[in-house]
Amino acid sequence: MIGFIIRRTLVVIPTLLGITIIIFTMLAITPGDPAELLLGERATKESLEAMREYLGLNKPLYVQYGMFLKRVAKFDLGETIWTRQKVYIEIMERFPATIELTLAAMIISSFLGVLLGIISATKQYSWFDYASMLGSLFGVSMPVFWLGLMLMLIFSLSLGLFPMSGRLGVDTNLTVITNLFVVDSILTGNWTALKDALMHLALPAIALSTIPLAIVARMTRSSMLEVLRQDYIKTARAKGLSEVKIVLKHALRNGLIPVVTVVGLQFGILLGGAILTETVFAWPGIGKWLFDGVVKRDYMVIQGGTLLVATIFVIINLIVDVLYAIINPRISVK
Amino acid sequence: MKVKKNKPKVNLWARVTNPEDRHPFFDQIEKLFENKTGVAGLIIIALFALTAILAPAISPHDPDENSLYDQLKPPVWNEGGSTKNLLGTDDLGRDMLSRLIYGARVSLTLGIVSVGIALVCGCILGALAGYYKGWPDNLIMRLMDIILAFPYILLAIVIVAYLGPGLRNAMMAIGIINIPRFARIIRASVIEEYEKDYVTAARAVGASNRRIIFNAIFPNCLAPIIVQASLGFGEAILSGAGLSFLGLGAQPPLSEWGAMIAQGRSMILRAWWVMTYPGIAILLAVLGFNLLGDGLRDALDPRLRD
Amino acid sequence: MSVEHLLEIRNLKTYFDVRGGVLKAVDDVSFTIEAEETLGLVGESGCGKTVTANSIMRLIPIPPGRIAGGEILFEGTDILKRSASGMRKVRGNKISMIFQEPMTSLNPVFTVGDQVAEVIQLHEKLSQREIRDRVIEAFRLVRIPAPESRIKEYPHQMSGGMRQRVIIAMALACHPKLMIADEPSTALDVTIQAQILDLMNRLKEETGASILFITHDLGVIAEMAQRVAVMYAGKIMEGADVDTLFSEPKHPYTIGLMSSIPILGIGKKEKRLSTIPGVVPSLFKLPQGCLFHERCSVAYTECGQIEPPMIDLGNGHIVRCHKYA
Repeated sequence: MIGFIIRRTLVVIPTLLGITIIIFTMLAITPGDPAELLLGERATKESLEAMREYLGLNKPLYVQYGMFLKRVAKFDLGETIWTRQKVYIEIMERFPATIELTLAAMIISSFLGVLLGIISATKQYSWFDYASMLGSLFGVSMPVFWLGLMLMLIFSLSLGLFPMSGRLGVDTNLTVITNLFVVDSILTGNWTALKDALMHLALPAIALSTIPLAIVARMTRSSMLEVLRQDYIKTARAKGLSEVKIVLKHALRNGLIPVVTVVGLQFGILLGGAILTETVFAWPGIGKWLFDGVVKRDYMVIQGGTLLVATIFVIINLIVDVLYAIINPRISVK
Repeated sequence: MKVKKNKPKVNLWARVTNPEDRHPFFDQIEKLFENKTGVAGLIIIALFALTAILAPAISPHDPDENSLYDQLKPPVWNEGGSTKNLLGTDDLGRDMLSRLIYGARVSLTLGIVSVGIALVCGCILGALAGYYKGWPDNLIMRLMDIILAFPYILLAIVIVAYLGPGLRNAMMAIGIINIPRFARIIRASVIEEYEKDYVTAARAVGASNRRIIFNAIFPNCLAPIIVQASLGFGEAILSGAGLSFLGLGAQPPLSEWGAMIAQGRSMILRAWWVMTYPGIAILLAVLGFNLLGDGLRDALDPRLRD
Repeated sequence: MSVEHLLEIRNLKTYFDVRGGVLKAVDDVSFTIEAEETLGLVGESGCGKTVTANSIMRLIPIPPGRIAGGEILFEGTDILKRSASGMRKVRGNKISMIFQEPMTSLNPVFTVGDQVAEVIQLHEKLSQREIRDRVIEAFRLVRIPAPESRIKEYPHQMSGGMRQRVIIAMALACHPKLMIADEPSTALDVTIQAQILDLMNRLKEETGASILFITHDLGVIAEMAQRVAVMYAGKIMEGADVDTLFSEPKHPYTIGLMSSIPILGIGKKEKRLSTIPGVVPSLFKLPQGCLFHERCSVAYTECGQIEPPMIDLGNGHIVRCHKYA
């Protein structure tokens, strides 16, 4: 089991290297002078020269790549074109916002999804089942940015129930500790700020959670249905266990195993969807930052942001695989 | 001396309809039609495709025709609307309905091209990986892992960011990010089929590797490929819309549904219809592909085969 | 004076309402099981044996199934009239059941010890310590070596024979009066089969439980049962004690079954295996009159028109056939 974890972790390394290769290659094959691309149009001659030195443009490609790797290892991701701030710092400033949004969406999609899936499975063919499965189908078919806009249109602009964008109202004061506003407001006991933060978080989180919610619900349902057909469920009934106990103890423990993988993988969808959602709701996270960088052709931002997101994704997948191995005795106990 | 061969007469129609004789393929087709979700999906997709193909014929107006006169007219059932523009107009006076209809064309093209790329490349790579195993397998699968290491849209955005915006690059990007899915499916199928006797028989007879892969193994792997193709088509449309929404895909004045939503965003209060209807169009189209994919999956699932 | 039977089934009817009509899976079945005896229930696949067993345990899925009539008297009381929670107290406790597939009948995510402990915990109020001891005792009963360490294992770490022993342990943990065994050895290798059957016979003596042994294998029945009932298409065709059934079968179906058993060596040279012509009728299209008459070699006109009643031949031997009226 430990062996499995070690092996699985080691596999991550070539993947991460591969990611760095791709990111490095992308810049290398883009037409134009890399120094100019990275510094923008308004760069001075001196700074262009300095950049060329810094990147080692006159050296062979593999040396450049080595230098690139070294820089990444030191977290030196350069500076953005527009604000001349260190990329690393800008990431750290914005990262918590994305985490807050992604976590909120994941909580909604996981709990609600599993709940819906279990009820649908135990009440198969009931109206609840049909309704929730139809809803799921719609959920995975709609574009998340459109959903966000519609939610904004209906609940924010027309009904005025929720704020339109941003993380906090202009008037709200909040001492920032972790930069996770919900957490900070609880930590400082600032209840007005908490309410404000939650209201701002609501619509984007709901929009972002819709697709994963639908996927988790369907997955849970089919997994539970599969499990409830198994022989050991028959055995459990023959023992005299009540239906509720059977579902919650015997069925769930087996049925949730594949769902865990799916929930973990939601992260990938969430990170991708976060880009769109943050753009729609002007949520100041990594997604919006990355997108702004793409629009403005700020290659430092693109490089740094992509590297970060991809790395996180790979690590999350690793954690999910290890978790799966732990909870499935067939793999963990040999 | 010539040997006379007595070929029995084969009734082709019976081959298709007679339950005992017919090829299992037709059984599956019949099963598909019994599946209501699949049929519903098929109908929606057919409508979608027809709309796209017949666009010039059924579109009430030219989608690119500006009309300063008719700016921001609401749909016909709202106050101020008229039957001239059933679903209203946008800020340049272009008819929404026509733009939606032509948008189907763009989405259809996008779907076909990107799924096509993904399918062809994925199948070749997956088949090679599964058949030859060893280092080709490792290499190809590592490559697939790297592509999969990027959250879905991110890689597409990055590719388009570097290559430049535009529908063509968007289609390529979406195609590339979908390759691993097909590759994995084919690879798993090839590995499974490889163990079966008919493959061993083919090799014993001396068939070339290429022949074995394409003539013998492939037809047996079609089922999950078809399912994935259908579902992938829907996802491609969503991704394409997402990219266009961000300004990275279809460029104006092309009437792509995602781009239309982006455009309508600034008029969200004044003219909600500019933003709403393209989204509904996307929803319906993707829904159709998902329904079909689900229906196909149920019908072609070997476990459910009697 | 009637001796109280351990289990008495009177005119049980279990029907299923499906799209094609009503499936009469069990149609007017009656038999009894006494204390400390093994009753064998024999028949081909689909004849209703499993549905009968499930009816006793009331594990029939209620839509589309239903108990359309009859009584099941266990220790004198009709368990069909019990409430759902009342029935749960009976299951695993007074009447237990083991199934055909040992490989998949245990939950893969719990240890075998936990799963046996669960049934004890459910029905008896004991401390954790006592439960653990009971589990080990149950494992010993089914002859699983080194029980203290094996209770911590997961099902996938055990062989098929071992798993079946665990399942039997689970079924006997609460000392039931009746154990229903639905083809318990069919899915096992022949040598393991013999072990398990031998075990079951010994357990019957050691625990005093009765067994309702369901199988399609006549050879196994000969070893296990004291009395046998033969089922066909939802009805009992013949019932007798095991020696009589094998030496003097009366019903044409039973006779057909007996003669289709291949016998090695002893004088029967060059004899073709005899079979019963035809196939088991679909439950949707049951024949008129005697259910077996279309395949019967000695049928006469009456057989195709009137259903034969159950005829008592004395000595506990009953037959459902016009020939003996």
